[in-house]
Amino acid sequence: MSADGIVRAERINKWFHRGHAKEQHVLRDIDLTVTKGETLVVIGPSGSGKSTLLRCINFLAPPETGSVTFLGETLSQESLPRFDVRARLDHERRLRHFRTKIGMVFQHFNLFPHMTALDNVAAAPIRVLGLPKVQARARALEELERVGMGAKAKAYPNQLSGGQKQRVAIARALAMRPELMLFDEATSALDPELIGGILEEMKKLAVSGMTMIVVTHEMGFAREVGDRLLFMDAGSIVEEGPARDVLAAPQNARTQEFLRAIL
Amino acid sequence: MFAYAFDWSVVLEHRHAFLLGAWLDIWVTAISFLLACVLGMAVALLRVSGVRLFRWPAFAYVQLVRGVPLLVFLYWVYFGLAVVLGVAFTGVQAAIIALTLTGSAYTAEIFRAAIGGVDRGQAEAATALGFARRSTFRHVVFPQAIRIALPPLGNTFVGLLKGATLISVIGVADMVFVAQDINLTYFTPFEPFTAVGLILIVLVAIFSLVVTGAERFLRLP
Amino acid sequence: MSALLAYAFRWSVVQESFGQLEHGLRITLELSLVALVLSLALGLIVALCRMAQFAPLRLAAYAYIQVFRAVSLYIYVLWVYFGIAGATGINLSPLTAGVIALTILNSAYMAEIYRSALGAVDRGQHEAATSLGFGRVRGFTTVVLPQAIRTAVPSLVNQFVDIVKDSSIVAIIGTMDLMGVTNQLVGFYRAPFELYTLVAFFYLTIVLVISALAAGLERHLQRHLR
Repeated sequence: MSADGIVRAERINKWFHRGHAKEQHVLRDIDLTVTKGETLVVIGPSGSGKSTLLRCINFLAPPETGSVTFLGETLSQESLPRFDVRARLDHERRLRHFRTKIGMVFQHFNLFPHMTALDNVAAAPIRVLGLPKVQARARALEELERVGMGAKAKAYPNQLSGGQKQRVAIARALAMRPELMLFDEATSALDPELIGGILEEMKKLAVSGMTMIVVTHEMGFAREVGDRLLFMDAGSIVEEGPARDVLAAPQNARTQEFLRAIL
Repeated sequence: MFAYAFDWSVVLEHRHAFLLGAWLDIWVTAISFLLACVLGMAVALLRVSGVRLFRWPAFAYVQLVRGVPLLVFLYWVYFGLAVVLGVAFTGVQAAIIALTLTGSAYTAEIFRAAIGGVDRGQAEAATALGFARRSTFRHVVFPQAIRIALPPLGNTFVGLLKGATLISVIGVADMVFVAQDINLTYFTPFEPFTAVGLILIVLVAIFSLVVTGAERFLRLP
Repeated sequence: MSALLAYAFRWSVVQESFGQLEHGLRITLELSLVALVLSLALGLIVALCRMAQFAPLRLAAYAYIQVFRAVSLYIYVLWVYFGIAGATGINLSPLTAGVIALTILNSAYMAEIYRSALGAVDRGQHEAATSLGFGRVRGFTTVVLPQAIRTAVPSLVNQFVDIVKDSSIVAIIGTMDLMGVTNQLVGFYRAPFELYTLVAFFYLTIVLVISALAAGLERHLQRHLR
C-alpha cells in the first residue's frame, strides 16, 4: 500500500443520473491502492457500488471526480475542458492505451457472438495492437490452450457452455498481455458445477503473479486467494484488511451482518 | 431559379374536393381492411389447423399473394378478371377486391404469428379444464392473440391506406385523382401533390393515435 | 361458370410477349437494385443521426423518418416527377424520379430497421470492446455493426421485396419496366387477363428468388448461433 502501487484511485465519486438530477451517489470518495502482484477481493451487498468501482478503474464508467493512476500515468475526467476537442481526443487516446493494459472479465461473458472463440481472442490484438494476423492467432491459440479451450477454438460462443465461455473471455483479456485484471462477478452467472473450474483459473493467474481486483461472492476464494479484502456498502469502503483477518474477525457491524447473512 | 409562382389558393378553393377524395380513400380502406381481416383469419386458421390438406394451400396462398404488387392486382381485377368473368366492376369494387386480396396475405401472417405467440400452456390449461376446442380458441387463445396482433394490424391498415392512394389509376376519384385533375387544369403540380401528401401524413398520425389508444385500452395489468 | 367458359383465353400472347417482358424485367431489377443500394447507405446515415448526441441532428432524423414513412410511394413519385420538376424547373426522367422517390421512402424504413438492430446489440458488447482498448469507431465497426447487420438482414430483405414490388408504381409516370411494358402489351394485344397474370408471375418469381437467396444468406450469417 505504499507509493509503488500499480494502480491508485484517488477521491473517486460517481453518481447515477436520471435527466439532469443526480439520483444516487454510487461511489463516495473512494481511495484505493493495489500493489504489484496483489489480489484484492471486493465484497459487499448488491448495489453497494462494487461493479461501478471496477468500471471506474478502466473508465468504462468514468469517475466524475478524482483520478486513476496506473503504471505511472494519471487519468482524470474531472479537469478535462469540455469544449477542447484536441484535449478530449488526446484523453481518449491515452484511455485506449490504458485499457489495453487492463483486462476485464464480465459477469455475462460478453463474448462477441459473431466471432469464433479464436477470433474473439485475436480480434483486439489484431485491431487494437496492430499485430500481424498470423502472430495474433498464434497468441490467441496459446491463450486458449492455457485455459483449456484449445480444442474449442473454432466454436462460436453459442456452442459453448457458460464455463467455457468464461474461459474464452479470460483468454481474450489475457491475450492483450495486461498488467492488471478486473473480474466482475465472473462466476455469478455460472451453474454451480462450473464455478470451481473458473475459480481455479483465477487462482492460477493470481499465483503466477498477476495483479487482480476481484469482485465476487465466493468467500472461499476470497479467503484462499485474496491478499487483501474490501467490504463495500452504499458506495463507501466500510472495512478493509488482510482477507483472512477480515473474514475471520470482521470489525465493522455492517461487515459482520453481511458475512453472517451469506455464510 | 424559382420562377415558379406558388399558388396555394387553388388547393384551398378545392378543399372540399380533396376532403371528399380523402374520405373515399378512407372508407375503401376500412372496408378492404375488415374483409382482409376475415379472409386472413380464415387462412390463418387453415394454416394452424394441423391438417396438412388445409395447411399447404393456405401457405401457398400467402406466398403467392405477397409476391404480387398491389398495382398488378388492381389492373388484373379491373381489366383482366372483369373480362374473364364478363362482369364490369366499378373502380371502387375492383379497388376493394384488390386491396382485400393484398391485405389478407398480411393479416393471415399476423394472425398466425399471434396465435402461435400465445403460450402453449394456455390451451393445455383450458383443455384440462374441459373447454371444447372451439371455446378454447374463442375464450382463451383469441383474446390473447388479438393483443399481440393489434400493433401489426395497425401497420397493415396504414399500408392499405397508402395502397388506396393508387386507386386513381383505375379511375376512382380519390384525393390523388383530385390532385391530378387540378394539376392538369391549372398547371400547378407542386401544390396539389404536396397537399395530398400532407393529408396522408395527418391521416396516418390520427390513426396511429387511435391504435395507441386501443393498445392501452386492451393492455393487461 | 358459364361466363368463364365463354371467355376464349389467348395464352399464345404470353409466348409472343416474353421478349419484351425480358426488357422490362431488366429495368425493374436495375431500378430496384440502385434504389436498394442507395437507401441502404442513406438509411444507415439517418439511423446514426437519429442516435446522435447532438439533439438538433436527432430531431431532424426523427422528422425525416416520420414524414417519409407516412406518405405513399405513388404520391412521392408524383411529387418528385411533377411537383419538384414544376417548382424548380429541373426535369427528371421518369426513371430518375423513380429512383429518388424509392430511395427516400425506403431509407426512412431502413433507418428504423438499423436503429432497432443497433439497439438490440447487448450493452456488454460495447463494454467488452471498450475494455479491450477499441476506440469508438473501431468498436462500432468491428463489434457492434456486424452483429446489428445480422439482426437486420431479414427486415432488410423484406424491405427489398417491397422495393421490387413498389417499383411497379414508377410505371405510371412512364418507365418501361415490367409493369410499363405489360400495360403497353395489353394495349396492343387486348388480352388483359393473360398479360396481367403473366406479369404477376414475373414479380412473384423475383420475390421468391430473393427470399430463397436471403434464406441462404441468413443461414450463412447465423451459423454461429447454433
